Amino acid sequence: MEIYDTEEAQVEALKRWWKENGQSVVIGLGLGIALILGWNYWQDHKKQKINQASALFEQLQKDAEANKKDSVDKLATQIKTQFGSTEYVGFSGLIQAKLKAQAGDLAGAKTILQGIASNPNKELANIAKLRLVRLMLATKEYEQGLQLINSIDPQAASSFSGNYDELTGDLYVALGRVDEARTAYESALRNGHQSPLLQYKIDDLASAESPTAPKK
Amino acid sequence: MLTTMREKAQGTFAKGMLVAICGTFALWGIQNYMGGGSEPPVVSIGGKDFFQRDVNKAYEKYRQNFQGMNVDETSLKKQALDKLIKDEVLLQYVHAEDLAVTDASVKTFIKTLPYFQTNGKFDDQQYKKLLSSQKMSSAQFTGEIKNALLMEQFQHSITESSFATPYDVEGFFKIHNQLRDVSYLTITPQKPTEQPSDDEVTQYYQQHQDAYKVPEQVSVEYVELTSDEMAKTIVVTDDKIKAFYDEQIDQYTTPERRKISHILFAINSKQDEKTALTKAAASQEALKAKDFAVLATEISDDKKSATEGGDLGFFNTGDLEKTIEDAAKLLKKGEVSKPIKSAFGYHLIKLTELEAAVIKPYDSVKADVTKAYQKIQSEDAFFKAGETLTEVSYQNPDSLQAAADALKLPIKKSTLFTKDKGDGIAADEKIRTMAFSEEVLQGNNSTPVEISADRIAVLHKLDHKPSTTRELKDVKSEVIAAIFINKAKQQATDTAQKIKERLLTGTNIEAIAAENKLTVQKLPGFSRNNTTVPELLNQAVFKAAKPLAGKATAILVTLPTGENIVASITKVTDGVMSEDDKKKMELATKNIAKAIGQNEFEAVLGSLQADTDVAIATPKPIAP
Repeated sequence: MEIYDTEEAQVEALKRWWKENGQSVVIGLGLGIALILGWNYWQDHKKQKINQASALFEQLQKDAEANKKDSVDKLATQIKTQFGSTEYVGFSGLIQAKLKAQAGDLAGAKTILQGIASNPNKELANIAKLRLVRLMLATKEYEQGLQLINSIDPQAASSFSGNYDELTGDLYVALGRVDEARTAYESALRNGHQSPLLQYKIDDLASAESPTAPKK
Repeated sequence: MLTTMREKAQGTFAKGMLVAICGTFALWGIQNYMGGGSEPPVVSIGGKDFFQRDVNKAYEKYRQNFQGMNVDETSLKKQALDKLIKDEVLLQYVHAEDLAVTDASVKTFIKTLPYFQTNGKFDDQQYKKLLSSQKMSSAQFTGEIKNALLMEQFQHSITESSFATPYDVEGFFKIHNQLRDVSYLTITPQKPTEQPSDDEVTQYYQQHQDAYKVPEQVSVEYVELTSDEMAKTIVVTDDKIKAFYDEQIDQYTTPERRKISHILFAINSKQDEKTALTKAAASQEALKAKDFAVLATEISDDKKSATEGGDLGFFNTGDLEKTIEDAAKLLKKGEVSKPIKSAFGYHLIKLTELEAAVIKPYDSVKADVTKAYQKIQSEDAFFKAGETLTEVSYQNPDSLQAAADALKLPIKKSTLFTKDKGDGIAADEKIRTMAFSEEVLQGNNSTPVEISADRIAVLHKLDHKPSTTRELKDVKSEVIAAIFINKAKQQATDTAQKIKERLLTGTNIEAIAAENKLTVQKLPGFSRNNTTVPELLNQAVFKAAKPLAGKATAILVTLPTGENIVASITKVTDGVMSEDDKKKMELATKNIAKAIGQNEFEAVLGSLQADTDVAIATPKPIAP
């Protein structure tokens, strides 16, 4: 640390320092303020965007309830183009697919769900895949269904594995492969999966009892 | 089935919120006192700590869903904690995923809540009043509602987007409406004719000692203190009642009420403070010649009250700005105030009606006063006597005599009772638990048992009979009867087992029935909903394997009554939709979709929870 003899020397030193560094201080401060303002602006902007997307999605939900398909499709497209980075894209897709499936357009529903199946949001992706498999069951694409389930990384399936197991069972039943179906259903039960029909489905596959051999 | 399929709704969050609000309305006061700062958290979810009071609050909230139902508290507490965790995980998720609910939606939602409505319309006054009574700010409240709606938005995006394909619907009916053709025989136990031998009897008796045990029994003497008894000891004199009345005079007074009208001279962008004051002063002059209501209608800036001659009605302290209330309280009836300043501007205030405070005369409320006096006194006396009872019975542990003498209470006696059952005072479980506690069995006075808020007792052992086993000679007939029943049941099961084997090898059920003098019951097209046969049989029929290649399957069901049913299942028919089902097709599809959606949402919650750090502290052992 420098030691100054007099007050004047001290003032001189300060002046000198300011001459050398003043500009960078001003620039630094300016930059800092600009950064803060920019960040706030960005946050506000982001928040505003999410709010707009949410409002559109709420409208979409209402229209879906009233079964206004055209309006739902229009809103979904708007969300996708204007607010592509929000989760509302996935949500609206799920609702679009439902309306299509309800109206009997299973192929259309499938296309939409296939898009969501690659969503980085693991939960949405799993939901989309589960629904895809159920559509495949309805369109008799049993092997494709099994392939889809087999392609899923067990890690990513996490708590959905019970749901997948039950669907695997359904696919095997449809293919007439009863033993494999039973194994799949039992695995669903072990995974703590609770569905209203699971126990019925297992019971329905009970293996026949043969007469006990006479005791020796 | 379709209705039961709709599972217990995973409680919509916003509705849960309402319960939460009512809950907090009731609980707020308590919690403010409970917040110890240094306690460890009970559960930590994704880095956020929840303390005992949060868990208690969650439990109270959850319990309201089961009001009036008999549910096990321990499992309810566990469920409440589970729900707290699930909700928090979900809340953190919806925040992390940057979801939003617009302020407009929050507002619309709040406006539909009946709590804040008068005559079916949202009432801002009511809203503010309810929130302030909960010491909750509007921002806090809307924040919580916003969170609830956020969670609901996400939940709905999963559950409401769920659908059921025709395959799902058909599959449901195929299995749910499945029919099975069943024929069955019932084998009833027959009482054996042969008397069991002495050896058999001894052996059975020795193998079933538990059945012939007399449980441990205790009887106690006790000193019982009730607040009703204490009330009788309160000496009531006129002087005391009158003094109590004077002391509590506020309780017997209807406070005065004031009704006011006003004329407002607003301070705003069009009119500055000075102009407003000048106008107010001028109007005060004008009032000498003009009616207040007329002038209010003409010039008041408060347009709403102006149409009613400036009337603001009766007010309660706190309704209006303090300056106005203070001024109004000094006015005589008909008098008009000087200009009074408020946040809105200057007001001229007229007191239009004055209902004086009314003190209910002593004679008219004497009975009520006496009752209130007695209640307070007896509570006090009960509390003090309770302390005496505790102290004296503790200091003289060998007998209740000292405690009874100190309180001038009798020593009462119970009859013998067991741990599970007793009469009189022993009908109470807390009494029985205490009577069988070590301190009492060793011959000491018990600590006081609080049977209810106004009834306590101290116990002392009178008699203690350890558990004994009744001797064979005393129970011989019981043993023989038991052996008969057992043998009969066993024989019936054996017969049934043999019949089942023969059915499995292909023997005709009619032939077997004829041999055994039994009647074949036929149930063609037996459904899951059939309630004419025992539930156990119905379940077993549908759990049984299907007949293959014309070979019937056979099952054996032993009913708790000892009856055995052997059934042969000859045919299984896939379920089809009944006409009735077809009519309800749309509803069925909707309900199946809903059940699937709930299921999927549960999986989503599970997945979110698996990705969140949840640490539950091991509960502290409960101090003895």
